[in-house]
Amino acid sequence: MKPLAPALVALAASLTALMLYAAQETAAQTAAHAPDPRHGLAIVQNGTEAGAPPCQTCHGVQGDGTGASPRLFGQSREYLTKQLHAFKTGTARQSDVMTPVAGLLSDDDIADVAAYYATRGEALPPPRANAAMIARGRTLATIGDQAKTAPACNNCHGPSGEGQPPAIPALAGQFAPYIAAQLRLWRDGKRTSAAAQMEMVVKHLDDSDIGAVAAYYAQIRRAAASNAAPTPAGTQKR
Amino acid sequence: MAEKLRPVDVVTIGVGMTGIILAKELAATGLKVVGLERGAMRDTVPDFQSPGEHDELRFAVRKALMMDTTRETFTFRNNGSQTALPLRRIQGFLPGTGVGGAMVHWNGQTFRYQVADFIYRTHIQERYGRNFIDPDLSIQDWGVTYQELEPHFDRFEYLCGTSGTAGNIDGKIQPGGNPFEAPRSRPYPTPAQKEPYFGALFRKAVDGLGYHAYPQPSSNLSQPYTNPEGLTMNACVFCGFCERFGCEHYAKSSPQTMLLPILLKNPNYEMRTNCQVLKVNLDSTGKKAVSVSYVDGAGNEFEQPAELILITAYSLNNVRLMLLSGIGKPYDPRTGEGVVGRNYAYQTSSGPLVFYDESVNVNPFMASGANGTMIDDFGGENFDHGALKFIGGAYIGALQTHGRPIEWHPTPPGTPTWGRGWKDAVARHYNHTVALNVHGTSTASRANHLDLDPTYKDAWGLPLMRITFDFPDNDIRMSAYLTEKAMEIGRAMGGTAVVGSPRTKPYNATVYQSTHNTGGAIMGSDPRTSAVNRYLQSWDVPNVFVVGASAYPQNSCYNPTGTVGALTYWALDAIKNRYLKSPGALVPA
Amino acid sequence: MTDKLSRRTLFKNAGVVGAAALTPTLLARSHAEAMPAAEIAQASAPRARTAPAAARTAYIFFNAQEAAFIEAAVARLIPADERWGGALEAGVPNYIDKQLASAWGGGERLYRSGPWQAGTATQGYQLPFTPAELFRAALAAINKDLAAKRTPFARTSAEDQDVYLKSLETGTTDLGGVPASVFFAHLWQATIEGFFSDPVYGGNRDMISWRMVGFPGAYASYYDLVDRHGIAVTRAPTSLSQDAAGHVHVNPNIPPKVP
Repeated sequence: MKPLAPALVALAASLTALMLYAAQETAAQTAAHAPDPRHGLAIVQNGTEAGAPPCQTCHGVQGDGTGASPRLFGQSREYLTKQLHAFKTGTARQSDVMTPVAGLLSDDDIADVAAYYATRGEALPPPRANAAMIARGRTLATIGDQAKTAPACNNCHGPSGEGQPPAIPALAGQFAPYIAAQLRLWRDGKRTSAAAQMEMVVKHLDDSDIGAVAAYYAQIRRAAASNAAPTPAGTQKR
Repeated sequence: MAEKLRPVDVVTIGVGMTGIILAKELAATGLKVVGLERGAMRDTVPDFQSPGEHDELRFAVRKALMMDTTRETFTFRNNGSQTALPLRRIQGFLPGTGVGGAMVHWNGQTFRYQVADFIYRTHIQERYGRNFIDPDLSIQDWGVTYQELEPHFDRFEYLCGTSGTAGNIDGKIQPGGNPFEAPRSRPYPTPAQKEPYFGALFRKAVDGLGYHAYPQPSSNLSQPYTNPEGLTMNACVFCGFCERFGCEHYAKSSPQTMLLPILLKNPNYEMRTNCQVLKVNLDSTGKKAVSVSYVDGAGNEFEQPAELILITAYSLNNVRLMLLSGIGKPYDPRTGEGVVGRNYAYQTSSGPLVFYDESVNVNPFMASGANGTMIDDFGGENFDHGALKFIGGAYIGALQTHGRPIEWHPTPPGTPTWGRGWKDAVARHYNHTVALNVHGTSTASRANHLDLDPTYKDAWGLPLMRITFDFPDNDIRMSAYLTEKAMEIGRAMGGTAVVGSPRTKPYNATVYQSTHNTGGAIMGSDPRTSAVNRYLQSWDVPNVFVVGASAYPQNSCYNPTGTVGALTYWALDAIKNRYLKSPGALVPA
Repeated sequence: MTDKLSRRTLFKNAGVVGAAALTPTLLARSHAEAMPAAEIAQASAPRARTAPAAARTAYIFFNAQEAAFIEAAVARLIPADERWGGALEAGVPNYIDKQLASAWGGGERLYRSGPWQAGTATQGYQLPFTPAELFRAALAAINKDLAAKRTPFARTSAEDQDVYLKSLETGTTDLGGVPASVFFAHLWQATIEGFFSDPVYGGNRDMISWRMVGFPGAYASYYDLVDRHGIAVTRAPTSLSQDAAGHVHVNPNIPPKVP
C-alpha cells in the first residue's frame, strides 16, 4: 500500500477546486449544506466522532472496494448519497453492515462522503472470466432477451455500462459477486427501486443469466473520470 | 397464375392493432385464422433496443418504421379543380407498416370520444338549430352510442394498461381528472404518469384562469402492470424517443407488448409477413367475398379463400382495398352519391410557443409520448357555441413529447433563417422554450374525399388512392378562436414571449401535423350515407368487416386510437356472438 | 483525384473517416490525483477552433469542386464563433457526402414513378431527381456560374458568400433542372441533419451541437429526473456509437466494439 501523505497533499489541492463545483449545484440537488469532499475524505480515513467507522476499511481510500464491498469510485455523488440514505432509513435497502454505519452518519456526513468518492476515478484490471458467460452477459447487456422480456441493460446503464449520471449508476468494472448479489436482492424483493424498474427487469432472469451479466460488466475496462464529476458546458469529456 | 390455397375461416388484411385483437379472439374460439401483413415481423428485443433505436435521423427523419413509399404512396390535392400528384415522400402523416402497425410507433395518447361525438349531427341540431351547420359540412351520427361502447373502451384501456386519473366515474366527478370526460365505469388501470416541468408551468397558468387541468391519459405506463391477458409491461422511463420509435422498455402499449405473444402461441393462427394484398375477390353476385389475392415477398401470387374477411389495414388502406375490390359504391363528390371514400377527415391543430428566460431549464428531452397536462374546457361540445360561428373544439395542453434537435430547435420571430444569428438563437432558446398543443376537431365536408387515382400506380400495377382534402372554413374559424385561447394561457405561463398562429388554408401535406386520417368507410344507420353498418360490417358484402378509423363519420378533437380500440372490441362482440352463429347482414339494409 | 498523390496530399487526404479528435487531458487519470485546479480552469475555457474539416474528410461522393463549394457554403450556413464551432468543424460536409453516397442519396423511400408535373406548394417535391442527382445537377450549374467570377467562391468575403446563398434561398434560377430554392432547401435540411444527428453518421463531430444546446444524446433514461423540475443536466452527451472508452465510431460500417 502506497504511503498516503504525499497523495493527501495533492488531494487537498484538488479538493479545493472541486468544492467550487459542489457549490455550483442547483437547488434541486442540495439542501443548505454544500457537500465538502475534503471533509468526506476525513470521514473515509478516520470515521466520525459519533462512531461511524472509516469507510476505507472496507471500500479503500480510492473507493476500490474488496469484492465483499463494492467499488465506489466514479459513482455519481447523487447515487451514493441516495444509497446511504436508503441504508440509513432502512426502507429501500437493508444491510447488516451498512445499516448501522449509515445510521451513525449525519446528513451532512453523507453528503460529504458521497462527494468525496464521486471524485475518484480509475479503471481496475479486469478479473478472469468464463468466455461463454461473458458472451451471454454481453447479449443481455446490449440486446436483451425477448423470451424473458428483459430489455438491454445498457438502455439505462449507459454506453458499455458507464452509467447515466446523476441518477443511474455505472456497472462497468463493478465486482461480479456484488452485481450478482444486488440482482438477486431485486429478484427476491429485498431491494426496491423507483417504479420497480430493476425488479421488472430481473424478474425472469435465472441464476445463470445473473452470473453472466455480472461477469460481463466486471470485465469492462472503464474510462477514467468520464462521467463522475460535473463538467462545465462546452468541455469535451473524453 | 395465382396459386389457390386451402380455405381458412378468417383472414385479416393487416396485422396491426385491430387485426391482432380480432385474430387473437377468433382463433381462441377454434377458428383457423390467417393474418396477411405487407411488412415484416419485429419485436421489442432485438428490434427496438437502444442505443440504436435512439437514432433521430433514422427513425424520426427518414421514418424507418413507416410504409416504404418507393413502392406505394398516396396522391394528394387540396380540391377537385387540381390534379392530384403523388406524395413522393410522405411527410404529413406516418402510415405504419410491419407487424404491430402504427401502434408500434405511436405516442400512446389514449382518449375516449365524448357522448355528443357519436350523435354529432343530432346533438348540434338540437342544441343550436339546423341552420347552425355550414351547408358544405356532411357531419353524421355514428349509429352507435357512447354508452354502448363504454364496456369496450374499458376493455381496451385495461388491455393497454393506460395511465390516467379518472374524471367521471358513473356520473360522479372525480378530483384531479377531467370533469368533462364521458362517464367511465371504473378508474384507469394505472395511475397518471409523473408531471414534467412544462406540465407544471401549464397547470399553474390554467389554474389561475379557472380551467380544469388534468394529466393526459397515457399508454406509456406509469408503473409495472399485468394486463388481463397475463402480459406485463414496465414503467416508462421518459426517454424522449416515443413517436416514430419502438419502445425498448416494454413500457409503451403496442400489439407486441399487450397481446401478440398470446396470439402467436395459438396453433389456429398463422401469420404471413411480406405479403401485399391486392384485393378481396367477390363472387358473381358481388355480395359475397370468397378470397383474398396477395403477392408474397418473392413475387409469387396467391389466392387465399376464407369465409370471413376482416379489412384491418389502417384507415387509408382500408378504404383503398374496398375501392380496389368493388365493395360498396364509390363516392362521387359532384352528385353526393355513393359511400366509399366519403367524409375523409383529419385533425386541425396549432402550437403556440412560449419562450423563457435562460434560468428556466425546460429539459424537453425528458418526455414520454403521452405525458403532460391538459385542459378539456374547450373540447368538442364542452362549451357553448351559440354566440360563435363554428362547431367543434380543441383540447389544449402541455404535451411536448421530445427535444430531439433535428426536429426541435425553436427560434423567436425575426431570427434569420440561417447563419450566426440563427445559431445564437438556437443555442439560447433550445432548452428554454415550450410548445403548447391545440388539437382540434376535423369536420367532414362534402368536398373532402378519397378515391382511386386515374394516373399513378403502385409497384404491383394497381391505382394509388387519391386524397382530396382541405380544411373546411368552419375548422379554420374554430382554430382561430381556440388558438387565441391557447395564447392567453401562454401569456399566463410566465415566459418572456408567446408566439403563435392558427391553422390556415390550404392544408399543406408537406408539413407534419397528425397521423389521424379518418373516414372514407364510415359507419352509420343508413346504407345510402355509410359504407359499413353500426357493427363495422359492409352493407354490401356481409362477410366483410372494415375495422379502423375509416369508420369515423368525422373526427373529434381527441386522438382516435382509444375509440378504434373500443370499436374493435364492439365489432368483435357482434362477430363472435351474433355473426358466427348466423352469418349474414346484422342490420337490415 | 486518382492521379499520383504527393506526400503532402496523401497526408491531407488521409482522412478521419474514423476517430473523432480526442482531448487526452481527461483520460488515464492516475490513481493518486483528482483534477488539479489548473486543469479545471483550462477545461472550462472556450474551446479553440479546430482546423477546418477539409483536411480530415475523405470524400466518396463529392468531387473536389463540389466539396469546395459545400464546405464554403455550410461554413456560412452555420458559422463558427468564439464559443462553438460551426457546420464545418462539426463535419457537416462529411455527413452530406456520406448520405449522398448511401441509400438515401440513391432514392430510398422516394416514389419515383412518372409522370412528373409541377404541383402546388402543398403537394411537395415532384422532381424526378434522387438526392444524389439533385445535388450533382445543381452543384454543376452553380460551379459553372461561379467559375465565371474572378475569385473562387471559397475565397470571396463572407458577406459576398452570404449574398450568393441568399440568392439561392429565394431564387428561381434553373440549376440543371433544379430550381435554386429547391436546391437550397435540400442543402439547408442536410446541414441541419449533419449538425444535429448522431455522430455515427459522420457529422456532429465531438457532439458539438448537442453540447451547445444541452441535448444529452442517445442514452436516455430520465425516470428519476423528469419531476426534478428545472434541474441542470450537465453530463456529457452520449452517442449511440460510442464504446466503453468514450470513443465515437463515426463510420457506420465499423460497429462499435463492445468489450
